[in-house]
Formats: sequence, C-alpha cells, structure tokens
Amino acid sequence: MEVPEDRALIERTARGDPGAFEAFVRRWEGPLYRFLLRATRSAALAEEARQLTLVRIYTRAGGYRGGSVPVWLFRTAWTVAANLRRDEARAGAGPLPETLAAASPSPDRRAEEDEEREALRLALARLPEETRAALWLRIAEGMSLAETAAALAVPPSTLRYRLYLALRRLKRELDSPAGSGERDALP
Amino acid sequence: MLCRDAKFRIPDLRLGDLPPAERASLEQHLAECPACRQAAEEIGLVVDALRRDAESAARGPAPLVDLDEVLPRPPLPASLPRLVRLAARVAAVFLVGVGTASIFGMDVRAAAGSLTVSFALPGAKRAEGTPAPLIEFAEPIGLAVRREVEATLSPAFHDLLLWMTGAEVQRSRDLSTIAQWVEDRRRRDAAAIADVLSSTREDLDLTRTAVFEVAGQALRRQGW
Repeated sequence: MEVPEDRALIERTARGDPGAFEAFVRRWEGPLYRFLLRATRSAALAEEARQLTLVRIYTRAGGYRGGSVPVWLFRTAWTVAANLRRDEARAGAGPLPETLAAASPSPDRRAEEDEEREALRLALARLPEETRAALWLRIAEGMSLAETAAALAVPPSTLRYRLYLALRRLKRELDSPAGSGERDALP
Repeated sequence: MLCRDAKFRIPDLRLGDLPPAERASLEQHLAECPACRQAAEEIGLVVDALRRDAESAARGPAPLVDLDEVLPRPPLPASLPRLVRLAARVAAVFLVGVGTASIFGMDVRAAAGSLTVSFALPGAKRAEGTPAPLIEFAEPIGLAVRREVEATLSPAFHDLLLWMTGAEVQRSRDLSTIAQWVEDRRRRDAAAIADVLSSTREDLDLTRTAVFEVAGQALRRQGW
C-alpha cells in the first residue's frame, strides 16, 4: 500500500515544504477518515481524530526515521482516537446521536443496500473496536499482518488469533439472523 | 501442520499474506482435513463480503481536510528563551480553560503563599459562568510584585499568543475576530492540549516553574 512517494512527501514536509504536506494530506485524508470511522463508529470522532493525527504527523515529520509511512500514520491515528475516547469517557460524555445519524445510511439508501452488507455491518459493529480496526487495515488497506499489528501495537500472534476468532464470529452471526441483536448501530 | 496451527493461518491465506512455505504446508493440511477445509471456505466467504463492503465504503464520500486547520502556526521565534517556549504551553492551558474571549492581557492575583495568573482579552467579556483560568504557584511571592509581573510579562505573552493564533495572519484582524478564531481553535485543540497536559505531571510542574522563572527574570531586568 505504501508508495515511495509517501516517504518523499514526509521528508519534504520535514524540510518545510507545505506543498508536500498538502499532497500527503490529499492522498491520505480519505483512507484515514474511513479507517477512523470504521474503528470508532463516530463521524465526529473520526473527523476530529483525523485532524489531530495530521497535525501530529506534520509536527513530527522531522523525527521520521524511515519505516512504513502508512504504519506510522495509522498507528498515530489509532493512538489519537484512543486518547479522544479516553477523554470523552473521563468527561462522562455519552454517545453522540448526531454522529451516529450522520454515519448511518439514509433510509432510502438503507432500503437499497444489500441485505448481506447490512447484516455484515451490524455484525461488525458488535466486534471489539480494535478488531474492527484490524480487519479494516488488513482488508481495505491491504496491510500485512505484521504491519497491522505494528499499527495497532499488538503482537502479531495475538492479532492473528483475534482475527481468526472475529471472522468465525462474523460467519456465525451472518448465518443466524435471529442472533444478530438489536439493529441500532452503524457504519 | 496440526489443526490448531492451521486454523489461525487461514485468514492470512485468504488475504494472501503467508510465506510460500507456510502456504504450501497449510494447503496440504486443508487438502487432508475436512474440518479445517470447511473453516477455510467459511472464512473465505466472510473475507469476500468484507472486501465488497470495503470497496463500497471506499467509493463513498469522505469530508475533505481543511488544511488551514491542520497546518500549525508559525514556529516560535528562535530568539525567545527556552523558558518562554515552555511558558507557551501554559498559555495553551488557558486556551482550554477560558471562555469566549479571554486571551490577551494578564490578570495577576496574589494571596498568602501563592500567586495566581490569568489572562483576559482587553475589552472582551468572559463568557458568563465561565471560571477564570488560573495557575497557582507553589512559591511564595509578595503582593508588591503583582503590577510589575503584569507589566513585564504581559507583552511577552501577548507575543506568544499572537504566535499561537497565527501571527502573520492574525495581526491584521481586530480583536473580536481573533477572539472568535481562538475560540474555534480552542474547541478543536482541546483534545490535543489535554493530551499534552496529561503527558506527565512533572512536565506540567516544569511548565509552571518556567512561568515563574520568566516572571523572575523579567522582574530582575526591571531592577527587582
């Protein structure tokens, strides 16, 4: 998933080239948002975490010493999102209904969605956040097991075990609609 | 390969992320083990469904990043002393704690054994019900230095806050515009600043000490 251009953009950003950082942002703003949205299930949190992530990447570009840029980027995003959730929890903030509404498909669109996809999303919503994040990185971003484990700061062997269990669980839930639970959740 | 070793590698097989030797070993096991073969087929179906879902999601819109909100402010002038740089972090604290328009200027209050410092934007009103941002210093300081602290530190923090609000852009704007901008900034930066503050208690103490040192240096320059 990483292209040589990523490293060049970060290195140029570190040298103070704002155009390079803008190119980096344009390349990654979509993947980053979708990753955070899938992991956090909150459009507001995803957008805020993305912004903070990019600020952190910009300010720390000078400390980049090689390695996978996407792993660095997603690891930063994962850390930022965790901090935001922790702060929300400390503040006693409840769920954000406007966020969930914004992240949910419209009724019209939902009606058009494939039944399997809807069931899959509901089943995904019941997985642990870290597992959802890992599945997204593995499947949508094409990251290897090692890269995904590095991005989420878990041992590869642990992640491999969790992903196997998650996929088995998804299969069971997709096979038994009665056990799919309340249909309240979201992307 | 045993079943317990095989099954956990099935997702990697379906995702094309197995070294050739492991892949060959796993495929041989699947050819011989109906249970694992069935598990592999089922996992394959889920992976395919997840791929379709991801492809669909990737086609969906994602809000664009506003670069003006991401690119940080200009760096601190190199001529500013290190302690002032640290003190900038204290100013960031105030951005978290203040109300709608409490930025420039400084309010210093002293009590027995402590000194509290807060900043307020001249001519602007703090939002009703919003507590004043305060910092308490452990070191005792006399009441007599209050006005001197205010007189000498205020310009320094004014400069720092100008930097924080994007000096080059903001200089040409009036105070109310700046106040609104800072409030917007405060809201967006709150999490990042909270992150800084929660980093280490020691760091925060150091920052407090830094502000106190800045005050001391300023007062010494004034002949105190």
